[in-house]
Amino acid sequence: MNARTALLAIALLAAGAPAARAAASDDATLKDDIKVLTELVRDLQRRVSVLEARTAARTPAPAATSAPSVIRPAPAAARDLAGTAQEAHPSAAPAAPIAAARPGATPDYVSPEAMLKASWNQVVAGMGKPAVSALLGSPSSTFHIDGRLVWYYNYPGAGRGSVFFTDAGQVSSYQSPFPGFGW
Amino acid sequence: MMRNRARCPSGECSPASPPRGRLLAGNGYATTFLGALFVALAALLPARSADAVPSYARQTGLACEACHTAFPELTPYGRRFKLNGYTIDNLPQVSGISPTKQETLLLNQLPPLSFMFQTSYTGTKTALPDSVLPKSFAKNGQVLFPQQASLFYAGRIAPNLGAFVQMTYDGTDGEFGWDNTDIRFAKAINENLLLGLSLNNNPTVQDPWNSTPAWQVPFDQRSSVAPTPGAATMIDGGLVGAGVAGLTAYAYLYDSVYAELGGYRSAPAAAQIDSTSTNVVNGVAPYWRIAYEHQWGRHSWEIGAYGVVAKLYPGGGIALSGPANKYSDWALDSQYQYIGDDHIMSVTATYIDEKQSLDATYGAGASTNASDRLKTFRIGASYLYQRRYGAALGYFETTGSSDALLYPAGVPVVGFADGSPNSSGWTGELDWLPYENTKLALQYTKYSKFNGGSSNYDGSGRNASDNDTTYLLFWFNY
Repeated sequence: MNARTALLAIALLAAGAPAARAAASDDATLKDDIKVLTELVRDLQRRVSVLEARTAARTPAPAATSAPSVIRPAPAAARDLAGTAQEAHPSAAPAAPIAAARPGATPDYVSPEAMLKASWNQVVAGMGKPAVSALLGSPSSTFHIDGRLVWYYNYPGAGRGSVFFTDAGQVSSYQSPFPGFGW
Repeated sequence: MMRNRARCPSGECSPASPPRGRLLAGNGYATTFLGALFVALAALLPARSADAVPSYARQTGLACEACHTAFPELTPYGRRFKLNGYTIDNLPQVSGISPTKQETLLLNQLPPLSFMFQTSYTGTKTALPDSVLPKSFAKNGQVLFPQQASLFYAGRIAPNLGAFVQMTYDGTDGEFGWDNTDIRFAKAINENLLLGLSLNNNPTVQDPWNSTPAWQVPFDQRSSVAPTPGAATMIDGGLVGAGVAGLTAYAYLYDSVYAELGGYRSAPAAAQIDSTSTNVVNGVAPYWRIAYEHQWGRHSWEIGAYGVVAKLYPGGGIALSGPANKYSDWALDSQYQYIGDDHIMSVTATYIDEKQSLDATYGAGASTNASDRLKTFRIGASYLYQRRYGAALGYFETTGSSDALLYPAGVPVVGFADGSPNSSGWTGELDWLPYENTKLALQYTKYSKFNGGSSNYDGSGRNASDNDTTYLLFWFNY
């Protein structure tokens, strides 16, 4: 490297330093903006969760529309129902376990489990398939047990539930996925 | 339930349950009242308990109607679930995987526990005699609170291993003890063949159909304080009353053909089995079962046969050696089910024929005949509307050889007329199930013949119809 080249390099570096400093400053600003926006989104999520839970609690069961969009059931374990015809529901989409969606707890925070439980609590005998689908989303799988149509919901990490339908397509009974000491 | 092995050490039990009290009490009576011991065992008819427990629903995520029409009656799918070893699970589980990727541990985070509670009212047409005061009567209309209260472990234990374990507080004798138990290992060899093992303490408790004695419906629940006919076959309560444990192996082919073979040994609740025990199994009592089920649409129909051959030492003061009595039971059973959305119908029937070779009893002078015969027939039909309102009607009959020593006369309420074990009658029941786990039942039993007679069957002026029983039961599982 000769002296001319060295001077040119120094000149270029000197000229580029402010630009580099400006870029670093922009990154930091962007990170700050992202942080703020993230907090904002989380806050909005909390508010929406609270509002949905309140709406779900007030809405009569058949008219409920608060589908748990965040918590989609994953396909059911394949071998569980030996001897019964099984078919994967076309619209069933696997999702992250419920626990993964849990944001930081706040006084107004309503957990996805609670939302899901509220949805299951609105299922009643006589309800039609569309109403069940609106409440619970698409089942993980559908099959028949002794001739009765069953929608089976599998929530990894939380449990499984089922809805039994009559020939007329109305709910005859159901089992909530929450395995507490309740019926 | 089967836990009717109660003793009455004081010998002052109510005549309502005389076989369990008076006849099992006091080993010193043994030789003289040997025949009565058999009557006692016969009278240990189990007041059968539930095979439906919410922990199964919590485990599988399936609604109750997957496995039950109305508890404890099983649907075809419920039968498969039972034969699969109660192992379709739901609860989040802690699993251990070996280096070869085999599951070595699969524990439910929440134990599959359930609770059952029954309370009942029993009234007989005529009050029972007072147990102490002559010519006096006991109070008619007895409330049992509880009649039974049970704790269940019902569900998966490990991969391919599951259990139905029941412990019961019996309100009749005020004792808490071990009850029905069925621990299973099952493995599907392929889509068409299932093999399994059952370790249990009641012959037919492991059976998936509700036409065999342990779980026969309707009328799986009866009063535990009302008088009941005094003669019954070994497979219909006699063996379980003496206390047994058995291991059976079964195969289920094409969801249709069922075959089972195993054996039972004595396992009473006692520090040791000696001459104070009664009806002790000599060696192993082989048990067998075959059945065929056809399912079409919402209908299913089963026909089968089962039996046991038991060589028993009568005990009760007699050494457990030398001649033994041999009871050869064979039975036919059938069950039809229609399970519609609104309407459910079931018909169950069983016929049991027991050949008794009473070498030990006859040799001890406690039976008139060296061999006797005892036959039982039961049929029942039930209807359930929207799984909420039900009605059932059934007929029962026991007939057999007359044996004046085996079926003694002259004992109030539990005595026999002319040494005859014959009894017959009808039972009707109305059910209301406000919830899937709750049942209210009103049952009436009408006897046309009781312990060999219709009128003055016990020689004390009591008629068969005096034992007609009104029974109100409230029952829930949680």
